[in-house]
Amino acid sequence: MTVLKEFDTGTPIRVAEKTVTLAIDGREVTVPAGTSVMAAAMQLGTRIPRLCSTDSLEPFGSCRLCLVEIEGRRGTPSSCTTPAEPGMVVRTETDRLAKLRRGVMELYISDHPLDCLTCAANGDCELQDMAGAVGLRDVRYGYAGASHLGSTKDRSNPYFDYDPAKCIVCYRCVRACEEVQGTFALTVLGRGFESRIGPGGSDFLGSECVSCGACVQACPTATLIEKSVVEHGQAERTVLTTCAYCGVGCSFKAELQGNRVVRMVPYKGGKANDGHSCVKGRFAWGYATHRDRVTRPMIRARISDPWQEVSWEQAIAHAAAEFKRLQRTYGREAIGGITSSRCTNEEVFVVQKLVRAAFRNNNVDTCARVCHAPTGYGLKTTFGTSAGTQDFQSVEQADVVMVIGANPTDGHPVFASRLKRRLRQGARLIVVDPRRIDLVRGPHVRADHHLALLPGTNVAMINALAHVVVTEGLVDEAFVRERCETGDFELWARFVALSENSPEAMERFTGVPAAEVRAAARLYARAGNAAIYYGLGVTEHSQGSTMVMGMANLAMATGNIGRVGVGVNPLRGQNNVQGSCDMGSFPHEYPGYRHVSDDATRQTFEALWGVTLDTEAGLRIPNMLDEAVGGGFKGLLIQGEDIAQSDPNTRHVVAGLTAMECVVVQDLFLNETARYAHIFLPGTSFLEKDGTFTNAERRISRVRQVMPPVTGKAEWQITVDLAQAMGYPMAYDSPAAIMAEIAQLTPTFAGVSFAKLDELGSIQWPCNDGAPTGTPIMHVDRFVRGRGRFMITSFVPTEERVGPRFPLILTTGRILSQYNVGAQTRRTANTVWHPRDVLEIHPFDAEARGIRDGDLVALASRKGEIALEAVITERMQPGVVYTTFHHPGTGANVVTTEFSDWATNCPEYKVTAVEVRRTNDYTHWEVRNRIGALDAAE
Amino acid sequence: MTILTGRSAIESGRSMPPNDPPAGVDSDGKRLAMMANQIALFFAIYPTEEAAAAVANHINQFWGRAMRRQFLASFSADDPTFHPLVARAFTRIRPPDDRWTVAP
Repeated sequence: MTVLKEFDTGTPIRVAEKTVTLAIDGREVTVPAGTSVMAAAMQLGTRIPRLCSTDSLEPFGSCRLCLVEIEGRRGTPSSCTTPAEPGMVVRTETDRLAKLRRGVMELYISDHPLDCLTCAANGDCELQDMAGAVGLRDVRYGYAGASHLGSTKDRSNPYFDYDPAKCIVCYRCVRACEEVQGTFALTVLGRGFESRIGPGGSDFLGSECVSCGACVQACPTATLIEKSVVEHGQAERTVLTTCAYCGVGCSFKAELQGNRVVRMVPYKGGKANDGHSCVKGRFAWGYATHRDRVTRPMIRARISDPWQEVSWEQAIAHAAAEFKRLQRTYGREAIGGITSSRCTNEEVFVVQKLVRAAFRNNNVDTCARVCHAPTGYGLKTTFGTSAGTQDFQSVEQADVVMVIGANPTDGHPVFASRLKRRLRQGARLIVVDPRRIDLVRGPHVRADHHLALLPGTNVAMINALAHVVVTEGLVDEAFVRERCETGDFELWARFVALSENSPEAMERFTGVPAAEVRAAARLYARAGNAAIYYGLGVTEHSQGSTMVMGMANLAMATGNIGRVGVGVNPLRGQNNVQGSCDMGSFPHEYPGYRHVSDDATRQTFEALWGVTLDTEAGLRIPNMLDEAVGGGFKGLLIQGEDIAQSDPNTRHVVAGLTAMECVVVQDLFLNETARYAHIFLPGTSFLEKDGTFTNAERRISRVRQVMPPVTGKAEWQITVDLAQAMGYPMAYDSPAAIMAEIAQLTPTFAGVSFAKLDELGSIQWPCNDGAPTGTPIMHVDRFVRGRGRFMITSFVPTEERVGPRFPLILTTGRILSQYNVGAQTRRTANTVWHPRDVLEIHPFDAEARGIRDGDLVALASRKGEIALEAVITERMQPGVVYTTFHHPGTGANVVTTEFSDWATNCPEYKVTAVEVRRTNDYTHWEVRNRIGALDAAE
Repeated sequence: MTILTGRSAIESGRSMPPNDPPAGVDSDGKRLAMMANQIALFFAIYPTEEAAAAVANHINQFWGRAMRRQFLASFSADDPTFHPLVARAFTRIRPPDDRWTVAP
């Protein structure tokens, strides 16, 4: 395959019911009303010369190359800014136009370095292309006059360079930053000849730039260009694949020389991202070839022993022998497995199959346990299926957006850009979050209401919002009557209407003024189209599942379900966390969210798999650890998961791991969990995988192999080999064959195949006979469960309480440049933005404790203590502090507790009672952790 | 039906253990008791019989054999730390089928 160049219509093709027909160079073309002459010409295959236009941006009309002649009009209008009109007669090539274009090009080239042969963009430069297109042969003005050729390059950004000498001031980068990304970090400094692109007066690294890469992608010259292209040159081939970071699941073009990635460029045809990206997906892929990668299997008898490299055959045989020994000695349920949300659907499917069919129990769980398990429970209970209701594009028709417990600009930045675009168009915004996240007030975006509630009071807030809807007559009665269980609705309505649930009554819990809550509720209920987007600030609570059901109640009561622009939408964390749940990673469910006790479902699996399957739910991750400490659980296969860093109460996790006799870790790196492992099986990065990921909008996308596995073995093959060694053969010859089995066993995937994915690009499940090309919006005519079910959601405060010893509430989260436990992003240049975890604290709380910005502070909870640097910020509210868990040296989860969601055991990361004080040194735990000594192993 | 509000539901669960057990140790099943009480607090708003059935059903559906085994072995229905609904649901919690624990 050669390098994929996407079709660019120059300006966007408009969406309109009306069409117009015009003639261009003697040929008729019909386009939607509002489409430009330039884009209409492209429909005929006529590429009018241009420099300042690209179809991801609104027309600008500055370069003066795209001039055309239109019958009946004076002059030569720019085709990019001229809308097509009925009966218009356009000429794109005349002698006059050619002369004008050559003249314009002469001016550009007179102030441009003539270093094409040594330029990094050689072969991928629109200026070069246009010089050829207009037939430029000479520059009459010479090169002796004033120019920008001596301008200083800005190389401060770790991923791209800015060379003002090559800038033609077309504004594409500035407009991309505004229109596509929504950050407004770039501007044009100076006027006339002095004009130059600037990141707000400082260099790129020190600016507001978020390094999404939109400006680099938009640049038609080598002015903004990837350092990797400067170093390696132009790519020779493209592989279309899917990003392995967050749950947005952006589609990317991996551009390669041989097997070396030169750059990753967001794919315009990707429906999750429409050609946009963030700093992680666009640039932070270097971890895949980092020197820390472990590429050979390793084993050791005790966790205090050094690792020994062995062959794949030895490692697999040893793991199988150990697992069989443990089951013989301690019983069938003494072992289990954890699937990875960073792995493909196919890799996850075979691991859960290994557990169910070869281990012969249901002790399989996944990292969704610690993030969106409450989403699965809550949405299944109310709507009938464990997934979000919309596609991402739906937000473009939302009138009011309520963001609850999510920070999209950091956690889901490409969706955030889509959301911000809609907000700039006039949609209203409600933010429910203890912190003043960037969306509350940003460039051209301002929340109408920021309900800055206390952590742990989500359910109080949702009940208060519902109270207003019910008591002020804002219920969509027709929707409820036609679509929902009316008996359950009446019980719920009576409950939320009680005065105890009023905003005034709940104010003492939430800390949010009742009037603000009432105004927000009215705005949401009267919106027309109101959409809820939420994140881990909802789920990681002792009432996480209750809150999910509370949001579903609110959406149903106001009729905001079942069409474009509305819905209840989880912003899921990891790239394939939706998929790993879909694939039956929970201990109580088979693929497709069907309980293991359901005889008909189980018999389907038994018939195909040829074994009798366990009829009861297995253990969840925290329960596995409890059982391990208790002595009943002895062996664990961990696929791409770092529970020693990511899961709460690190001491308990470590105690559980060290109590086991065989821990098998399958990962890219020797992560924190691998310290307690007996067998290490090297995994593959997304660049080496072949399979599918499913993103937060249920979109199944192909992950295509960009390079062969550096480990010599695909991860699905590792599992197949282990199953074989355990005495349970699995006969697959490819990931496509695994997907065929998934489709055979899972009704919502019945129509999915690699061939169809290749044909359609991506598919949102359910995909079956009823929806052969997938389902962008769910619950359109009826809920999956039939009628929507209202659940009563009593507010129950968490048992984790602040008091004199621990007066502050700690809440944890993520930032833009790092990803979860940081195993990937810490091995990239992203560390320049976040070299360590810090503690955000309000000035009042800092002053009361004598803490200055940058001080080392001890953060202590009932579970443990760590030390980290304080950052004083008014983003926090008094009484609440915040940190991230991206760096293992910090050990943020040393202080978090095992309190968890009542329904799913999802940990309550968002509420930990803590105290903060100045300190002089790191804690004993951190020092010990940093030098690698393991007291548990002693 | 009598609708309990959030506050009264909370008050009805006051007998819950105030804190979770020491890290990593649940030999006495206190963590399981706390989890059962949490489940009860969610369903407490529903009519008693419906709620008790829902508590038992949730435990039967989502707790593994080992958890139910330990829970049933560690407590009796009249345990004073139980939410009343847990006590009522206790006898409906399905004992684990230990035949399945033998190695395959």
